[in-house]
Amino acid sequence: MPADAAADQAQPRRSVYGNDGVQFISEQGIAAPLMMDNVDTDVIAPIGKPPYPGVTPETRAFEPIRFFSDGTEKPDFILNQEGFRRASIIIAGKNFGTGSSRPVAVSRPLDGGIRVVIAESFGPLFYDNSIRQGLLAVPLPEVQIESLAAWAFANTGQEIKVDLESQTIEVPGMETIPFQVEPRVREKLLNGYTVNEELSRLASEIDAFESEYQTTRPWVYETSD
Amino acid sequence: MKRRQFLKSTAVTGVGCGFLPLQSMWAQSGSGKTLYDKIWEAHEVAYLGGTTSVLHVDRMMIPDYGPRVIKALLEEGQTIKNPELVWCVPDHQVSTSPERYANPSLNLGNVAEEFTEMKDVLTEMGIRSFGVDDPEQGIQHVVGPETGLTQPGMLMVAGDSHTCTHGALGCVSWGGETPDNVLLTGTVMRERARNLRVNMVGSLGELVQPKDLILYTIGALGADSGNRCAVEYAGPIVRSLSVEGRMSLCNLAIEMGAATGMVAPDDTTIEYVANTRFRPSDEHWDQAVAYWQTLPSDDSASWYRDETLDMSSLEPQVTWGTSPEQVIGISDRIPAPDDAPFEKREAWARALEYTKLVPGNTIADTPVDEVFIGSCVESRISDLRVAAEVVRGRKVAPNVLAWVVPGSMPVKRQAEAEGLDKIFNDAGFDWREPGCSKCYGSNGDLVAQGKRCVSNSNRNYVGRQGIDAITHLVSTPMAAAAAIAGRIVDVRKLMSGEIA
Ligand code: SF4
Repeated sequence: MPADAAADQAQPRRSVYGNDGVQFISEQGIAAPLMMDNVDTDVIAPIGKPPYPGVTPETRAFEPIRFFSDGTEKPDFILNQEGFRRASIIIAGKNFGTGSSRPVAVSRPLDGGIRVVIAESFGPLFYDNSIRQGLLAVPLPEVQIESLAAWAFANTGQEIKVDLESQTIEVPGMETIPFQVEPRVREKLLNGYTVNEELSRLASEIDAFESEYQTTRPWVYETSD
Repeated sequence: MKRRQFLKSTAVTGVGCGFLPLQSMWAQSGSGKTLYDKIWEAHEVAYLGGTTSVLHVDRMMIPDYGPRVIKALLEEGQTIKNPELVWCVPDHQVSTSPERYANPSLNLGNVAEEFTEMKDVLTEMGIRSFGVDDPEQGIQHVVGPETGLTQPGMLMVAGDSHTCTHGALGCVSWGGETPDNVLLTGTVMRERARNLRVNMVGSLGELVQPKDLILYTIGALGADSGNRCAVEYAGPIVRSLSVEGRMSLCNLAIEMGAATGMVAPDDTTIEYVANTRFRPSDEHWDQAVAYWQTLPSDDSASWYRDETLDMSSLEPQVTWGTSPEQVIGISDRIPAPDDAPFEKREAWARALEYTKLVPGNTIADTPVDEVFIGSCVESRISDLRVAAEVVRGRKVAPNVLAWVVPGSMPVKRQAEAEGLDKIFNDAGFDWREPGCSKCYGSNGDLVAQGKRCVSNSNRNYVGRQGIDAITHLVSTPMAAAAAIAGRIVDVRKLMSGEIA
């Protein structure tokens, strides 16, 4: 699924922490149910180890559960199944992205065309990385996750639309599913702000806080011998 | 399997997975405040709606890539805000070989050279850096508390996920921050977590360790039980632990899925900080202590979730799967997927397939190939002392590759002064230089492909310690015992002579 046209125009700040400032407005695409709990960051994006033979940046997300170590596909992995190969949305269970703070846990799925993860809950560090890098993490209650997953299995190849502007998920033949993200997250993603742009707009408040803080907690600043 | 032996459990029903990020969910009836609330509010620069605020940062800690990031920002012409609150130490990429000082290229990613090259620039800016050959180098979560850069009441952030370790001193700490943002603004933007308290009560048996407490807690409550929560470990057992023991609990808060882990500061904490290099100056000491004493959660504080776990019959814990929640006692049998709650069956089956264990067998007597003692969970002097007690006068089993990697240079020096290195070496352990090492292998220290490693670290994920490597998480003395026996054993039986 091609990235949102607006996102192509945004000018993200590139760094080793992934791209900050990527705009996200909406995503229409195939949703792949990866119905596991606790999909951890080492499974999403192993690091410090060479990729398995033949694995490309586009297919490297979920490497240990997607491929055998000789590089052949594990047939039962959802993104290896016809109808789900082009998925741009993942549906998952509890605690998706539990584990480490590695930015690649978000950027590898993004490199593979995944723009949205809908899950019951998220690992806190994955969640913060996703906000930063412009992957939309949508928390939904278990019942809705289950009906979405059931729909996706029954309607292979059909697309759903996740819209951040209206905070809704449109699924053909189903009632529109509302969701809610933090106001700040919505504003950041809709506008393609970098974290630094967000914080810079608060520069005067930060300075004011800081000068008072230095007088009330002087010992915090005592870091030389 | 009796995993849920709670004396008491209160939880707001219906929102356990935290899907609605509404302020109302956080609103609590009690009038008092928790430790987390107090620290959060003391650092709140601006409120951005929902549960999100901008917060002042007291300590920014950057590992291996610190000098590189700072250099890049300086080259862009940027100004570092509050440089005196920033510190760096290489840990993930440093070699643990004694040769690393003579041959800096053994450290991966040019890390030794970069620290050396930037040393003067950083010092002049007021940024503390501990290079590869610095007498205080070590794993960042060991170095912070040990040097006193970590103090109660602080808001401390870093990139690394186990930054929650520092909460053991009564501060709020988390990982996942991008250094540039903090370096440029001195602040972070975060969603406020809910308050979860875990009370640990009862009495601890001999050789039952803080690591066992936290592994059991994760097993009982689940690897996602801390979702969107700040967890405070409390209760008489926690109060009786040393600051180092409390660090084991807080280190694994992230393995509960929590935003952070904390223990309220008390006299134990204050005494610990008093003996550190960067403690508050005499001029401000009393003022600091008076502030710290206001931090513990008020009795009238209310909790989003409040759990009490009786640890009286707890035995040493061992993980059998690929999530820290897949854990049993040493005398338990390996569970079958059918024993699992319905929604976990598949995960259990997959985990067992990976760890090559047979349901129904005891976890004890599982043969091991490697043993790793190190990591930011338990590589401090108290941990090495316990391990040395187990090892003293014994030999590592043939065919077992066993390593001890001290958490920091001061830990290493202290251990050597006490002769612990000799005990380990004589037994056949490798005594190495400080760093993260096989906890994660990002310096090249990997468990050999497909081998089984008993480790006192914190993650047993698929491939965490190396390709197809199987990890069993245990306490430090349990790891030492596995090295001696060549199989997973109950360290208490080894010590009593019941098994050899
Ligand atoms: S010791 Fe392990 S868990 Fe701790 S900081 Fe290093 S790699 Fe991370």
